[in-house]
Order: sequence, then C-alpha cells, then structure tokens
Amino acid sequence: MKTPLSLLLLAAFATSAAQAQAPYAATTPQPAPSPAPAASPAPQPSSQGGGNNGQQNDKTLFGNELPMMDPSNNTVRFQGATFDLANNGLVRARFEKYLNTPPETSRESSAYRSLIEKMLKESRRRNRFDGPSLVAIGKALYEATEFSADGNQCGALANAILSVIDTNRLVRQRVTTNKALDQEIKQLGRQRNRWANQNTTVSEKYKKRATHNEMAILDSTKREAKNEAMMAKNELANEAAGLNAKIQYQSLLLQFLVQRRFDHAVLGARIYRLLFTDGDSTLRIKEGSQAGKIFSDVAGMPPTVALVDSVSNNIRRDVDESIQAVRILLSQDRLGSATERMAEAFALGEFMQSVSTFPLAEKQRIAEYWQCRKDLLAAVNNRDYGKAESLVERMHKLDKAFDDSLPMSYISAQKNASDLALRNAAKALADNDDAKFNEEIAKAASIWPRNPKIETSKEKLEEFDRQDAVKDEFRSLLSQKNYRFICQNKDKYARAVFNEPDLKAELERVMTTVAEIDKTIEAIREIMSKDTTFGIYMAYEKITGMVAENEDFAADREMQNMVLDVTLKAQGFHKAIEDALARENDGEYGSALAGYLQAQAMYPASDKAGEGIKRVTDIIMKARY
Amino acid sequence: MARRSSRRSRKTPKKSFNLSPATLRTLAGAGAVVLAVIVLVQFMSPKSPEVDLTPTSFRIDDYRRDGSRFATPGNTYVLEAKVENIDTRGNDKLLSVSLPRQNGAKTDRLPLILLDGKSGRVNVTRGDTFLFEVTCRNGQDAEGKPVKGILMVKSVHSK
Repeated sequence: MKTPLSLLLLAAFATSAAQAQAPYAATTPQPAPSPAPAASPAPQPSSQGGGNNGQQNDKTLFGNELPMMDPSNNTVRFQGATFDLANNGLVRARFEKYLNTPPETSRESSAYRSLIEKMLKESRRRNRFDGPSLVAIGKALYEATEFSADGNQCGALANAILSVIDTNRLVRQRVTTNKALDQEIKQLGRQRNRWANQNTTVSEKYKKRATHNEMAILDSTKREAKNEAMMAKNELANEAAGLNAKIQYQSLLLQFLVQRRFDHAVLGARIYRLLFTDGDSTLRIKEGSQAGKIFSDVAGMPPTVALVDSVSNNIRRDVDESIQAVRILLSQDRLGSATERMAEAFALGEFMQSVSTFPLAEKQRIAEYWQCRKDLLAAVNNRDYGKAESLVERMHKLDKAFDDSLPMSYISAQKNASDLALRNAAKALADNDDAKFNEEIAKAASIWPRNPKIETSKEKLEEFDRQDAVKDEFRSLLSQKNYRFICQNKDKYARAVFNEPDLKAELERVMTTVAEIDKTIEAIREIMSKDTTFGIYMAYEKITGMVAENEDFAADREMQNMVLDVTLKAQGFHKAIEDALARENDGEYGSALAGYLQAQAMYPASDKAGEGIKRVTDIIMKARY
Repeated sequence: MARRSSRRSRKTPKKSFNLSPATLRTLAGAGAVVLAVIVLVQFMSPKSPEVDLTPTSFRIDDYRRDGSRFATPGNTYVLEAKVENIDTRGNDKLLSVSLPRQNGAKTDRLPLILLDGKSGRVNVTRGDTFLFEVTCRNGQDAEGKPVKGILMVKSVHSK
C-alpha cells in the first residue's frame, strides 16, 4: 500500500470490475460523492489528499486500459474518471457481496487451495526445482483448472508453460540443425582444401581432375553459403521465438498481477527461470510506459520477473496482515478501522485464502458498519441530516472509537443554517413580507429538505392564510359589538391582527372596554351591597346612565344582564322614572312632574328625578294657563 | 263631583264697660262709625263663595297616568296634604306635597303650583299639612305647545 508497486496492484482491485464493466465505467462514471448544491462539501469518509492531482494528465497502465488507484485518497482513476474506492458503486457492490457471502470453506475450495499450496511448495524447492518439479506443477495446474474458483487461471499458466516449452523445443531443433550445418560446412571446407591442394600440381595428366576439383570447389562453396544462410535464419528464428515466448509469458505474469492472482503470479515467476535459462529476466515493458515507470520507480533499476515474485509475495503478506488486523480490531469493537482494513485486504487479495475464508459472522458485523457508513454518505448527499445524525449515533455505538466530530460538525452546521433560514422566514411572516418568507423557506428547504421545522412553518403559513378569515370574523364581531366574545378568544384574534395596526388598535380598545365594563359591574355590585337603602337606586342610575351614554356598554351581554338585574331590583323607581318620561313626552307635564317627585321620594339624590323635576318645572312655571 | 257650599254667620262679641257718659257717647259714636264702615266694607266687597273644605277623593295613580283627565273646567279638588318641599320660582312656588297613603303606596307626591297671592294669609311652610283647594288646568308654553294636567292651588287653608 505504501509503494508505487502497490499502486499498480491496488489498481487491480478495480481491474476485474473495470474490464467487465468498462463501457459503463467509461460512459457513466460515478464520481466521488459530491456535496449538496447549496451546501459546503460533504465530508468524505476517507481523507482527501492531494496526491491524485499530479496524475490528472497521466495515462493509465497498458495503453490507457487499466485503472489506477491512489491509496492516499482511496480513489481509482479510469479513463479520466475518478472513482471513490470506498464509495464507487462497482467496488462497493463487490465488497458488499463479499461481506454477505459465506466463506469458501467447501471441500472443493479446500482441495483447490491445497493444490495451489502444493504447487507453491514445489516451486520453493530451490536446488531441486527442475524438470520433474515442472512436470508435477504442470499436472497440478491442469488439475486446478477444473475448480471454478480458479477461473481457468491455472490453465492459462499451464498453456503458457507448454507454449514456452514448445518454443524451446523448436529452438533446440534449430540449434541442432545449425550444428549439423556447421559440421557440414567444416567438412566442405576441408574437402575444398584437399581439392585445392590437388590442383597445385599443374600437369596435363591431372588437367581433367583439376577441372573436376574446381567444379567441386565451386559447388562446395555454394553449399557452404547456403548452410550459413540456413544457420543464420535459424538463429534469427530462435532469437525471435525466445523473445516472443518471454513477452507472452511476462504478459501473463503481469496479467496475474493486475488480476490479483498473486499465487499464480508467484508460481509463474518461479517457473520462469526454468523455462528461460538464458538468465535474462528483464520485463519487456515499453520504455516510458506507465508500467515501466512504476517498476523502475521501485529501485531505479529495470523491472525483472523476480520483482513480480517479490511484489506478489509482499502483497500476500500484506493482505494476511490486514486480515489479522481485522480480527484484532473486531475483537476491540473498532469497526471503523476494521472496515477500512477489510476493504484494503479485499481490494488487494479478493482471491486469497485469508480473505475468502474469513468468517461470515465477523463479516456481518463489518457489513452493518459498512451499511451505516454508506447510508450516512447517501443521507449527507441527499441532505437528510436528521437521518445522518441518527446514523452517526449508530456508528458511534457500533464503534466506540468512531470520531464523529467531522460529520456531526457538518450536520450541525447545515441544520443550524436551515433553522436560521426558518427563523428569518418566521420574521418575514411577522413583517407580512411574503417574498422574503418564500425566499427563506426555499433556502431552508434547500439546505435541509426534511427539516421537521419546515412543516411547522408551513402550518404557520397556513394559519397565516387562515388569519384572513379570522380577521373577517373579528371585523364582524366588532360591528356586532360582541366584545365579550372577542375578549374570551383574544389570543386567536391577537395572532390574526398582530400585523394589522388598525385592527390591533381595535383589539386593544375592545380589551380596554371589556375591562372597564367588568370594573363597572364590580363597582355596581359593591354599591348595592354597601348601601341597602338607596344602593339599588344609585346602582340603577349609574348603570343605566353608562349604558345610555356608551353603546359599547349597552351591547355587552354581561352589562345587559347586570342592567336587567338592577332594573328588576329597582323596579318601582324605574317605573316611576320611565312613566314620568313617557308623560313628559306626551306633554302631560303635571303627571310627569308627579312621577319625578314620586321617584325623588324613593331616592332623594336621584339625578334623573332631579333633572326631570327641574326640566318639567321650568316648562310648567313658564306656561300660560 | 258636586260642589258644596256653606254659609257661616258672623257674630260680634258683646262687651260692657263702666264709662262716663261722654266717653260712652264718644265710644258709641266711634263704634257706630266703625260699624258703619264694616258694614260698608262688607257690603261693598265681593262676596266669595263658600268653600267646602272636606277633602275630596283624588286618585293619584290616575293623575300620574293621565293628568289632563282631571282638567275638567270648574272642577275643584280639596286635598289635605303635607308640604314636603317648596321650590320658589319668583313669586310663585312649586309645592311638592304628600298625600296620605293610597293603595299601600309608601309615598305619593303631587306637584302643586302656588301662584303668588293664592295662599292668602296662610303661610305655607314645609312640613306642615294644609287643606289645598286645587284645580287642574291645561296651558300652553311659549311656543304654543300644550302643558297639560297642572294642579294649580286655588286657596290654602290651614288645617
């Protein structure tokens, strides 16, 4: 995980998915979680480093075909798209599938792993790793091919080995042929020497032999040239065949590497030296290619097949250590770290024994935490901060070491921002500013769409709309002077008219009037109770006077009841006054005056009687008879 | 209601004194003169009709209900009433008098207009009971509107 070689191998985590889903991944990549439109960037579950920035313009491995993972931020780059390894749909789906799949502990799986271990063990025989070992491994490879878990990888390796062996056989045949040709060339040379020596003696006797020798030398020379050409051709073919076999075999090794078939990669790398005995183990990677850069970055030396072996072993050890770490972390209930280590182990060693045989119960614990984490990301992306908060709490319960400060800070900030907008909306509502209200409500909803207080605000708005009807009702009651009812429901009407200055003033007047009425009624009762002689008349005069002068008093039900009660108690006085008034209106001033005097006799301090007497007396005394 | 009148005889008390003849003559002459004057005055002054001061029945409830009904020309009522209040308006007075209880009423008040000179020599005072000879009249105010059922004191008599 810490070396560039690890980068290559980590890239393999997404290779299988990318190869199978390349069109989807290339056309509809799922980028790393983006924040809410109106919100600041959502917190990423993993740290966001800047290590990927420098790779924006880099081509991916092997002609832009393989993804590249940056473990510093858990992302994989593929065809220009950045995938969050912890959130990518494909990776997530594979990981979730793994977490919910029973361990591969079947007899078949065990037999397959036994075969792999047997081959690896055979390949570790340093001094005795020879032809018989290769034969034994070859048999085991074809045997392992029968298991579905192998995915025919062993078959591919076996075929590659056979292909190299065949190539080597052809090379050896060419070499043998060349040796024979060389012997023939040498014999031809010796023969030509003999023929040439015979021709050194010039004589007519040997003239015919000399001519024959010269012809033979010429034929021999031609044959030698032909043999040399044949040898050169064979040597060239051998060299090309050997190089091609190496490249094909190395490609297979790299394929095992990127497919995270580290057992096969190790096995293939160890077999390599048996197949290619020329000592050349340099990986044929195009200079300047991404693979070449990665391998050369390791130690500044050209990459070799031994490096594949080394890398594979390192990764296998790393995965095993990760799985061990997962077990320890789970025993400590540190599910967050355990999930991360498990994701790393799965990313690197999906097909390794330690990963594939991990117990289901333990994986289920990780799956629950993983699901919470996934749901948290979805909740944050969907701006469902209420759910996000509960998920954070759940994750905190699952993992005591879970650091919830970042998500909680973010969630709290968003919720506060939404609540603030709602408060502004409430203020706008109070100010009767519809535009501002709508703006703030929309803002609050965009920040936190499922803010429960939005429902409350909507209810307030509906109540605000209902206030129009309440206002009409208030106006109707005002016109009816039903102040008592208004007073009894003052809160309702106060809410309705608080933003209407005129109606608000009317409500205050109503409240004051009703208070005065109540105060007057209380005073009347006190008068009646204190003066048993004239109190009732005093009360009658006072209350009837108030009712006559004040329409609001006259309209009040309580006041009407009080007037009725007092009038009944002062019935004689009331009748005397009323009769007198009636007679006065009829011009019966004598009768009227008698009535007023009668009333005054009942209540000497009566203002009504006194005023009536004075009024009528004036008329009588000024009249002519 | 029938009007009743009575005639009373006036008697001069007889006195005897022992005086001288001259004095007696003087006194006799003076007496004759006085007598002559009295007779003359009595003879020359208009003779008021005799008043029956027996209190008449007066239904106050009826009056308060419809006072103008009592204003039949010529009808006079004698009321024995106690003066409860006097409201003086210039030389005239408005008397508020109470009559004895009628129909269980605690207080029955009647207004009487006592014009100047109608009380004669009787000094009408508050709290005293008098015999009032009253008549009920209708009048008019300055604008010609009727002022009905007014009880006017015709004469006052001490009881």
